Amino acid sequence: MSKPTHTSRYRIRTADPLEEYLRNLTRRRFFGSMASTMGAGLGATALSTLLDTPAAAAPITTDDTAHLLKNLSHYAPRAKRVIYMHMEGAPSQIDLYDHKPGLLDKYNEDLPDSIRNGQRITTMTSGQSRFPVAPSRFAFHRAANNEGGVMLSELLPHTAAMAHEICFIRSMHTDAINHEPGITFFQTGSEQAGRPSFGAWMSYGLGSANEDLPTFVVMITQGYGNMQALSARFWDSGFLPSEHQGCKLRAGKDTVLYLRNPDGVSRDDRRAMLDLASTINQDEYERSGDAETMARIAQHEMAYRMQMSVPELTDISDEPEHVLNMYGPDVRKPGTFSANCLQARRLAERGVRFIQLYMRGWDAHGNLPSEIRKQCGAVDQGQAALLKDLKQRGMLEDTLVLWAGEFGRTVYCQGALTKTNYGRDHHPRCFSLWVAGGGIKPGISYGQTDDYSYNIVKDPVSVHDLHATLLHNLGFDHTKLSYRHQGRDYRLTDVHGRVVRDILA
Amino acid sequence: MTNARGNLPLLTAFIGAAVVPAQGADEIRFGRDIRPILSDRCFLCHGPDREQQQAGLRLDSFTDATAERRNGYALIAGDLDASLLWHRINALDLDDVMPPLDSGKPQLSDHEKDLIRRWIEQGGAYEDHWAFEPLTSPEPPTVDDPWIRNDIDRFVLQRLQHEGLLPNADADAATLARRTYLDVTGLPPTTAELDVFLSDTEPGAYERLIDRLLTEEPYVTRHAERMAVPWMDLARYADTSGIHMDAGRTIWPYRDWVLNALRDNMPYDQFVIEQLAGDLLPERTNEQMVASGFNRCHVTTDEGGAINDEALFEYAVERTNTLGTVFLGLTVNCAQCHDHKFDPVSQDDYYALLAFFNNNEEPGLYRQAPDPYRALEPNYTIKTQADAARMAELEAHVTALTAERDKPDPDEAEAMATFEQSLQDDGWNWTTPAVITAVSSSGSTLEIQADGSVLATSPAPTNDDYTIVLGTERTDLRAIVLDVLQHTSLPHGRVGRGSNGNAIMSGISAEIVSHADPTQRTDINLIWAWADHEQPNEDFRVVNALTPNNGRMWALNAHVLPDDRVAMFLADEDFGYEGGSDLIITMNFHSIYAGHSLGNVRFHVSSASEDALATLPTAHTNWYIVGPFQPEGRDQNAYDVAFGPEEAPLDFAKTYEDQKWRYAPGVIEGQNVRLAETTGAEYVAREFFAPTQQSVDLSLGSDDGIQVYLNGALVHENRVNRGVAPDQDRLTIELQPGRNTYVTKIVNTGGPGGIYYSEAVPEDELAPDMLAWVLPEPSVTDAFADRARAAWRTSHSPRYLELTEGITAAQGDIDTLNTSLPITMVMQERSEVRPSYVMMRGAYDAPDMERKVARGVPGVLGHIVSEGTPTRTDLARWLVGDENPLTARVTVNRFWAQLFGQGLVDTVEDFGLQGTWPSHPELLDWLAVNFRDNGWNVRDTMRTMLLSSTYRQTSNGNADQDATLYARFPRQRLSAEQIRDQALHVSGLLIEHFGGPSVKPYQPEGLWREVAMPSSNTRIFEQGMGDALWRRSVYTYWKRASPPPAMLTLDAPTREYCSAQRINTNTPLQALVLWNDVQFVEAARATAARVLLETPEEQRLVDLYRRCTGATPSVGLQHAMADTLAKFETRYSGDPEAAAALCGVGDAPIPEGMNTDQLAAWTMLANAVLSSDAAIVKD
Repeated sequence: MSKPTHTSRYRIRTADPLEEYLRNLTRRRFFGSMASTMGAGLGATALSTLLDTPAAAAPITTDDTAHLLKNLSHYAPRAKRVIYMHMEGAPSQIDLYDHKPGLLDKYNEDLPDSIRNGQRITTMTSGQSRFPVAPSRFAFHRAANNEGGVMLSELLPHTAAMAHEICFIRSMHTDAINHEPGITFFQTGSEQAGRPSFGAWMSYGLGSANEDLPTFVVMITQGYGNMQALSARFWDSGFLPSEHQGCKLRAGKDTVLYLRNPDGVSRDDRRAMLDLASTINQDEYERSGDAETMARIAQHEMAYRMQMSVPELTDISDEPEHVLNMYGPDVRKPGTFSANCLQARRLAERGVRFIQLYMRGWDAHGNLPSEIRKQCGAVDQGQAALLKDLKQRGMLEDTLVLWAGEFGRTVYCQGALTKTNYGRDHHPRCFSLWVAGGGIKPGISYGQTDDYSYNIVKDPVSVHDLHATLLHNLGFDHTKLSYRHQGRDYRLTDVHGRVVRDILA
Repeated sequence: MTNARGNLPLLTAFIGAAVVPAQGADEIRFGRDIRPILSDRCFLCHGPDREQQQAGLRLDSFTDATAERRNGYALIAGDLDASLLWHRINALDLDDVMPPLDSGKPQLSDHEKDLIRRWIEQGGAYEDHWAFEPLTSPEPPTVDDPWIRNDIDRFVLQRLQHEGLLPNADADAATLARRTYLDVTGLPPTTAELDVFLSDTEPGAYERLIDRLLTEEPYVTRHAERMAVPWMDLARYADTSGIHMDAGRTIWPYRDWVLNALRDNMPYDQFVIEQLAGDLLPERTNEQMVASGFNRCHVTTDEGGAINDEALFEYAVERTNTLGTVFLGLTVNCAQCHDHKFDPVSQDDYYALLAFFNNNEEPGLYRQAPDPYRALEPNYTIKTQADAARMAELEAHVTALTAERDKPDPDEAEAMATFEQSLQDDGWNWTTPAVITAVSSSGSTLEIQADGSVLATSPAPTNDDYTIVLGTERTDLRAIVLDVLQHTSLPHGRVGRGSNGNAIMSGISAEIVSHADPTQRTDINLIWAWADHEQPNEDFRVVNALTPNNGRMWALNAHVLPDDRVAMFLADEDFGYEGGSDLIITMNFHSIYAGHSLGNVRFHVSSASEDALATLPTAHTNWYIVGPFQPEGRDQNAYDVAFGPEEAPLDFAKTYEDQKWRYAPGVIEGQNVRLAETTGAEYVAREFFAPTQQSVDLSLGSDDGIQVYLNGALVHENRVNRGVAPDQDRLTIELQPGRNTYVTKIVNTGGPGGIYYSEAVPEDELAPDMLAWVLPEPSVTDAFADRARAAWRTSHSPRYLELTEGITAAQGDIDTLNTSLPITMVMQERSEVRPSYVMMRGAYDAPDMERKVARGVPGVLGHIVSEGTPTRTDLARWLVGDENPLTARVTVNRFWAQLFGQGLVDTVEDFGLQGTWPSHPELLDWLAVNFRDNGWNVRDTMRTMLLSSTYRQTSNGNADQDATLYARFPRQRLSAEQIRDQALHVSGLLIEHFGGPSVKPYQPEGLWREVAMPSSNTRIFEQGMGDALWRRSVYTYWKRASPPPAMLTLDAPTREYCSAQRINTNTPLQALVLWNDVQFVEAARATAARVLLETPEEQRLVDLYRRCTGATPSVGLQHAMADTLAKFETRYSGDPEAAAALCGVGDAPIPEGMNTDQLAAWTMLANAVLSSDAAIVKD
């Protein structure tokens, strides 16, 4: 019998983004986009990415649909996924990337007023009577890149060996001066809570490429230095549907929350239970004709598959010895940064779109030298191995790798200054980060700061610019990847952002 | 791909059928059909925002749009050809076409152009935005049909008839009952309740059910718990502060106020007024004060570097935006930085509204206190009259006892004088050596004062060291006293040079140089220190200064408690050369706290006899913890593995296997202290500083075993498995003069670890306060002398001691009463109204001094009438007054959405120009007017909706695909709270206890720790016990940085900001929650147990299904269930261990004597039913 079927009101995750796109274009959602004629409906973006052609070329001729699609952003995407390593607490650019040899002669001199320029400083150092210059106590060495070489800190030897694949940006700046707003800004494009995080945007925009794993995965490593807080808001979906929330992949027994069957329940038991649940759901569907129920059956099957695919994912016994060695000894300790880097590669391989790694502990207000040494020791080999591994597998070219803290640190010392020990306060005016792969020019440095690494003197890049650039390489016009909420079309880049074309390959 | 392309015609068909938003081919309505197009595509540049207006054209106003312009008219009513608007949207020239190609706005579609064309042709009329129009009561349509039960149905049916649709018939009784129970109480009916309803075949059975649910207990209470959840989303209620530390805080009394108000069916206008302005109401009650907490639920920051003004501004912004969404349904937040792009809300309007909310007596930046249940100030202690009377009684008692105790007593005075004299006879002999030089390492000017002190007169450098040289002729010196004096020239007139008046000393050292032969010089070994006050919030003890550069220091806490300070230091042997010496004292001030050096200091020196030294109390550091450590080998046990800390010298800066010593304020002497849950060894240590050789008697306890290392040597061991308790082991330790290290190694073999420590004070040891009597006279302030006298009388006068104990007991009662009184966050208006300015670009530090604004509401909505400056009360009254059309509309729309899953206005949170046109505008207004005119009666409004035929229909699919026309009831997945509460209710586990502090049911381990700052007071999740696990979800503790994970997966918001609507999703992670969350596994097991206990065997399958879903399973389903059951029975009877393991999930006990094989099989069955749509969907 053919009961009238009403369509799903909710979004369904399916294996095939095109199919998904069509399914998503339910009447209700479609009406929504039509009434507001806002264009950038979700899924359509996924469609374009998959087809690798402008979606407008899709043979949909109806006036309204063409209109809908014409407004989508379309560049041929250079990257299909993102691995974003966030260094929570904000690493010091002066000790890692922004080489300032001239500072050695200025040890303990006051930072000139002409440089500081009355800038806002945090209340942690605003009471200091002087701002003595603290040169980095670490040596810098020239690493080979695709230009004349790049000076990098002795603390990152493995990363330095990959410098030819990396684009260092030394002219980042941000609006935030404290961690919470700073990280929120980096993750969501706004200092205020409530916006979707970058990963959620990508889940929404790119859709899923693996029906057995979440689209947006988050991993956290506890640090050695002074740790700041993380919050679920950093990987929340904000006003996007909560399916786009980051899914935490954890070390230990609950890798994905609630994934493990309870003790006493085997995989066969779950299958038998699931068969019954599906029978009940099928019965419900036949009675109600609610497509949502059919979707639920599919979601339950996916959950069942995830129970298999996630343990397979996290079980690294199939990794050859030389690969494990490349990541270093930490790789065998779940939850370390190295282990998470390897997981990131495995996730990327399996089609996960956005992989977010947090490394905590960079907030070095005092004892910076010893803290940063440990922090670098924890990340250097793993992150370099990740780049190498991706490269060897031909995946670096379509994977965007981002390494960033939420702001930089001051050239002047916080607390007691000695030749060997110092602390640095927050510094939003300039800092360094790096990007690799995914259509970014490899082996270059971009942007320049003054002699004190205090102000940008050339090619400033804002957080919005960075977002716009990454989105561009992922195939999106950042002004058009939007979502309507409270009557307004929201974007990751708010109303700002410019693509930094100089760093595009 | 082929497959997918094959679907495309379907899509096209969809569109063909779908794109007819305008009803009726002829009638164009500006508000519904035209303004949304103009608003979306044109208003950005031709709308209300004056800053952005292009070509001086406004299309949001008829007058402006039809005004003559340089090149003609944008709009001429009825004349398409003369209307430039029409030409520009159709322009072929890419430079002329509107919207401009680079605007980011899509061009108008053919359909939209057609609408514009017809609109202009039909007269180009404007109408004001519907939502801002005054509320008038529309007459219900006169349509007549037996389907109609009340006026709601008339509006719905008229529309259906217009669309050529028919409504569905009533749902069957069981479906309707379940729907209604879930909607009204948040819980499904029990099978008994269902049977009662099904057996009532008399007319009016449903009406009677509604009456019962809305007027009788326990339903009324449950109704309140159900209604409170969406309000908690709106009020962004949570139990932590949200930012940085994400510290715990108490505001649950506000949540209980909401519950009570809903249970009492408080009129909604009062509900609004008390929450917005309860603190300002005349003769306000406790409850009204608590209600004002609505304005305090927002996130607050305690991030060290944050700026107060910025935080204060953000709080005010947050309150303003929340008001906009909750009561006006407007996105006023858009006008924070610029005039609203779409709605007539200017930036001036915004700051006029904000001016009501920027006047709270609050610090802005909060500091985390150790107490996770602190109510952030301003707060309010909820005291009943009886509480107040009891409090007054206790206070009077304390006053009387204190007066009695402090009466002068000549006998006592004499004994005390004798005692004091005996102390001084012990060999103390103080002199004040002259200062010869005083030098700063960082260029501070140190001036020698007439009173023998040294005063720093220049601004403080970041760090500093003072070297002060004193001249002395004495050779018998042993003790140095440091007076730290307040001075008017110092910040705030306090003792420190820090900008807040505080000071921190990181080290002190001394050297003695012979005058006769300057080559004779000795470093003085300082072995003991004491201070009259130490800052309590971290490890800031004065003994820290004995070792300069150990990273720890003495903080004086002068920013909190002013007053002079005094500290005393002892050497290990007498010093001073014959013929006079220079005593060189160096003090270091190195810390991350800039400028925190001492401002004005003076030294005294003295001899001390052995007797005198023996009476001084032992000093010690704070406690530190490191670990736990696990031995690597299987055969090793933690007792025998030295992980490092047992070895001398002890150094708290050292790390072991990457683990650091942690300052451990939680180790409190004389209390059982809980340690890590991990097995292995954990070390708890501190240093003693003995003035002379002495022994100390210890009482120890441990969970499990214990070893004690004194100065690196094992002095005690007990290899035992036990829980911690006082006095399990006794031990006497022999301290050498000076520094001693004391390390306890606790070996935990399972469960949580623990330690107990207390030491007996030797009878002849002076209480610290009595040191006043051994100090030189100038060092002792009057207050300090009082403390010394009180200490003496406590230890020497039984009468005094008894009275003191009485006072302490009464104080304890006061404290107990105080802590038993709930305290909660409230509003407290500043006495002086803070002026409000338009903030340029919405920035906290950019007031436009030219644009001062007075409190008020957006002009388009009217204005507030008040005497003098309008107050929050006036604002609240205006919100529910007759002039404001929005509050009633917005509210009934939310009630509607609560039942039907969607609002009559789909954008529940936005009634502005970008919001959706109501599906049934007249019905919305009819409901709103009735709500308002019938005393804002929430329950009556709900009742009217529930009684309608519209509500009672089946959900069966028909031509009304999205159910937006209500030709059927919209099926909806239950909310996170409903799904969990249902499982608890069905299983019989639900504990129905109304109100109270939030509880912590099951959640996976480690979630809080992963994200928290190491010192956050909500870093460790301590799962609740017993009843706490099974309360309704509205009581679940909400930590913002890590909200209850199952709730979040099931689409609950994070509660960081106001949320008016949840978006339902359908994800695999949700299935995992329903299958594997301990809460749901346990509920399935308890449900299974109930069925097995209560139901005859042959009815069990049907009964289980009915309990969970309210429906009777089809025969086919019954077979499927029976087959699955048989499979599981075989499986578990063959593997009893697995069965026992499954049945062991969760804390709820298994009924005695129950066969776990059978229970496990039924548990799986219940798990299947409870996670299916039959259970989690409201049909």
